[in-house]
Amino acid sequence: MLMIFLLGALKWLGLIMVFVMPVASLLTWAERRQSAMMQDRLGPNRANIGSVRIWGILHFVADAVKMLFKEDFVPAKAHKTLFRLAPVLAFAPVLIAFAIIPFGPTIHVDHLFKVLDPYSAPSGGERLQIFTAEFGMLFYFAIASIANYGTTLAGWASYNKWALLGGLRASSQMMAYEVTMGLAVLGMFLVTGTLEPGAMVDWQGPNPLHWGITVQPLAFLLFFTAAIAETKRAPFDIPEGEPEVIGYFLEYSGLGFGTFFLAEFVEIVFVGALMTTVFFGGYHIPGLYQNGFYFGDWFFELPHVVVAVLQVHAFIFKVIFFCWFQLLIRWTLPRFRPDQLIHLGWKKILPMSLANVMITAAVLLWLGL
Amino acid sequence: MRTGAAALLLVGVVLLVAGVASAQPGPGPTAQIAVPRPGGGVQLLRIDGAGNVDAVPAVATDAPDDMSAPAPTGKGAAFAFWLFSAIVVGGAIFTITRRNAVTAVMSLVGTFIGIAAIYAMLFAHFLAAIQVLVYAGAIMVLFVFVVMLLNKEEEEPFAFRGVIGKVLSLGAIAYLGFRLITLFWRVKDDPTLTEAAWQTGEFAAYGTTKGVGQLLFTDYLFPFEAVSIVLLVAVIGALVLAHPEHVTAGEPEPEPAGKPPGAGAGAVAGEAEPHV
Amino acid sequence: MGERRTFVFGQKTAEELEAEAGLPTEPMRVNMGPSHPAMHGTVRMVLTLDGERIRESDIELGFIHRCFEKEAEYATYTQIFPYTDRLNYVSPMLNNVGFALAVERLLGIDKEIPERAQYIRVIVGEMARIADHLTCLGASAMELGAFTPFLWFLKAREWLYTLLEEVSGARLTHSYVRVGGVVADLPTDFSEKLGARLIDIARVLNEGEGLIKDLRIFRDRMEGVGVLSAADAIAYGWSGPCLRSTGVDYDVRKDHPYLVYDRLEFDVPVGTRGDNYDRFLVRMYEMRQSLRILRQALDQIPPGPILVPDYAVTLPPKAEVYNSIEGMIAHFKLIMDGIRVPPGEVYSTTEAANGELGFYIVADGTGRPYKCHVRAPSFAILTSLTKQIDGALLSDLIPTFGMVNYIAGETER
Repeated sequence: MLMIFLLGALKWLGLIMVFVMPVASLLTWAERRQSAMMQDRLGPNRANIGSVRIWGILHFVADAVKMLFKEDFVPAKAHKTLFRLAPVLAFAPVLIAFAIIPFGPTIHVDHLFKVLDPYSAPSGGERLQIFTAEFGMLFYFAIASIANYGTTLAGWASYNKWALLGGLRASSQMMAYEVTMGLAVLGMFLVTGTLEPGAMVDWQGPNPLHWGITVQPLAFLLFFTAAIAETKRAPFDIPEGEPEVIGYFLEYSGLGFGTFFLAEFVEIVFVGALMTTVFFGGYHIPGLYQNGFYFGDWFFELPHVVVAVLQVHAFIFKVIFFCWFQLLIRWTLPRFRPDQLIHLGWKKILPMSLANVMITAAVLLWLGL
Repeated sequence: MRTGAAALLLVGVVLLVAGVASAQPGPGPTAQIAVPRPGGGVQLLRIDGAGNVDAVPAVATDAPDDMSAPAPTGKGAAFAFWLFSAIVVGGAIFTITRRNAVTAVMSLVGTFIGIAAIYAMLFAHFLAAIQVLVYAGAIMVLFVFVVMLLNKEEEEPFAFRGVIGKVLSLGAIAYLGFRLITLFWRVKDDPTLTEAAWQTGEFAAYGTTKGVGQLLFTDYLFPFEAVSIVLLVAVIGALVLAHPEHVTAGEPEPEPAGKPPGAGAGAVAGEAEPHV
Repeated sequence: MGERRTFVFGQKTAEELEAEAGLPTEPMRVNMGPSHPAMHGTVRMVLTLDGERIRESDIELGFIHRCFEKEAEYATYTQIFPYTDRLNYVSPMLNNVGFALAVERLLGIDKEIPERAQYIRVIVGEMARIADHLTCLGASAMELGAFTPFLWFLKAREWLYTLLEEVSGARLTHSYVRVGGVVADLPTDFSEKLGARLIDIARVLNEGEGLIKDLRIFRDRMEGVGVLSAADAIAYGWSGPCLRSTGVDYDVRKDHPYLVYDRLEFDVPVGTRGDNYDRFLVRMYEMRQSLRILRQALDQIPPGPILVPDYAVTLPPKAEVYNSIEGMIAHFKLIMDGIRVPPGEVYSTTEAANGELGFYIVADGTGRPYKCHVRAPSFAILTSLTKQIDGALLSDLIPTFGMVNYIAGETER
């Protein structure tokens, strides 16, 4: 019992504290640096501790310190409880949702330095996934729908018409795209036959031709679009579109705003992890099986620990690639008008997802699977 | 005026609680059944009319992969149950006593999440996820949306006035208390009901998406489709009610979505509406 | 517990339900205040929103009124030039040129300006026009969420500002033009530098255009939005790129040529629909035409004097001021009394970046104008903004407001 608890805590520590939070914090800096490179300028490269500068990576530390020391201001007529609750509701679900992401293969501690036999996996072993549930992806959708409350309440509790507008827009946008997200990935559920992300990764395996992106390319596009819309990133950042309606976090300052800010970046990492898991084979490297590398006739044996380490690194690399890609999209595209956004979600992406599901089902039926 | 509606409401609530409290588990399977055990062999079960199950003999098998948690007995499970129940009941009480509508709605969300937790304790995992997803996550968001848009001033929650009110409410509370006490009296603290479901192979799909899905699309297909049609009717009705009225010809017709009409007599030449 | 009423649903009577059958919603009054990221300059708009639709809009000006016209009555004609810099503060050279031409028309010397000065005025004017259009398009794109073209266009604008700083000594408040010419000649290497920069600017325009011009999201936001018909535009007094986007081919440089525009070959882009996208395209193409004009002007510019040699109008050179009595007296009179303009009035227009910039000057024989009124192009355009946005969504207000290029400085003077 204690072992189960300890292992779970270790996995959580490893995933969240060592990977997700540092990457999300670095993303706050990387966003501005990457945009600067795209826009032919320098970007933040000055923050330093003493003489240690590291190209300005320490900006995220400076940001955090700045937000900690700002006055935490609650507007006079705001609803104090809900005002303080909203950032929690926006941030907590995003971290909880990481529980279902498999970030590495099943580790068998007693076989660490041996070569595993790919045809008979040893029993037991610890899956590098915090919460293995049969309804895995449903868990994510459920938790994502709770995150909806954070923005809506933030907009309402601020007692500010502009914030209310932003909150309402956020709410309607997130609701629209939750539905489309679920339907878009339905095709993938049909193909893999399971809802559980770990099983999906196992199904995809190390062969890129068996990955989600090749089997369900349309679902990938729709799901990616809907996921970006769900996280309210550009081009869907109408709720926080500063020049237009300032945003639902208008009245938040200091750490309250910092929470919303950080939640958005953790969501970027999460969307990256989700895309990797469902469509890009999770932690698999093309050609790397449980006992080593296979390239055509050439086989290179590798012990279990090396395979596991390589696969965890592959996962990290893929997630960072998707984070980079999302930042690229943000700085390239202008934003949608709210009615165009809702129109896109309900009238374009939803029918396409439904069509995708039906075609997938028909193909599966025809193939006899 | 309001008394009639409120009295009706309260009677309805009392009846609902009473009905739930006195609900008996339906007639279960016949006296003794043999169910296959995962890993080979057969498990014998004896089930009586009240639904109590006795395993003969009760042998703990390997739990299915997705239920690696121990059985819902013991102090931990009891603590969890009372905690979630406190959340549920507390949330419900908050909902009806708050003056601020949005706070009431959020309390209801808390209630639903507590209910989902209790579902999970009962191994109805799919239902727990769906409860959070649909009820707490979609329906209540729409509630919050509407409440925010309505922007009503805060009102005192409705309360009876006068002698009639006091008599009625005291009577209702007394009846409610009586039914609750008899409910606790009757229900035995017998964990084998859920434990047996967990232990036997046939019920390995109990509460999973696969299990629920198979039931929904085979045994309960007609209710499922009928409910879908009812929901469709509700959606169409809502659309019809919310659609702005058609104005007379000559005035610009307000469009609910899509591009706004160009102000003035703007000539929109050529391909005005870009299509997909 | 009073009278009996029929209840249909819950608490409402049947009559109340009848009244509410249209489901009216309470309109919301929103203030896009003087400080708002999307309000160019400081202008206040009070919008009455019905959901997301604008039912009514009320524009309140005056936050940046600095009494240009009153100040002009107390300043000599040369002292007014710094004030004109601050009118359209995105393209100050064009304001300088406009005012100088107005006074020269009053004096009757507008045909005697040296050719080199006229070419220099055209060059700096077109540079200012490009800077204005770059700012307008960049800021509008940024407000729509496309940050990258904004920064690229601003990079190009920086090149122009650097060159203008070399010419006049300041990036924004040039005060470079004088009555009778310009204050100083171009630097010696200006031609080569500007020639090289023209190529760079063309490249930046290509990049920016390629990024957003055909982008589906961008077009959806801009097409069909903020439409005004040609007839309405003429009725409201529009001019410049906004008028040309509605289909009316009117450009002061072509229809009433001034300076040396009649010797330069350029086209005037004209739109068709009068929506935001046409305004965007008109400005993009106008920038390319300005590049064309600049190239020709750089080729054609002759050497020569840059000021009219009339010491009643322009300051004599320092050598004469220090070495001759006439020079000293002329210098003194010009500085103390200003240019004595014979009594009369003139209304003179030029094509500024936003449209027809007009100066109406009434002279009374002294060195200070009796009245100097500015006809600002964006004033006329702003008054019709309510017509453009009535019934539009709140999110349509932002690109519309950006693309009409409302400059607060010149509207409120």
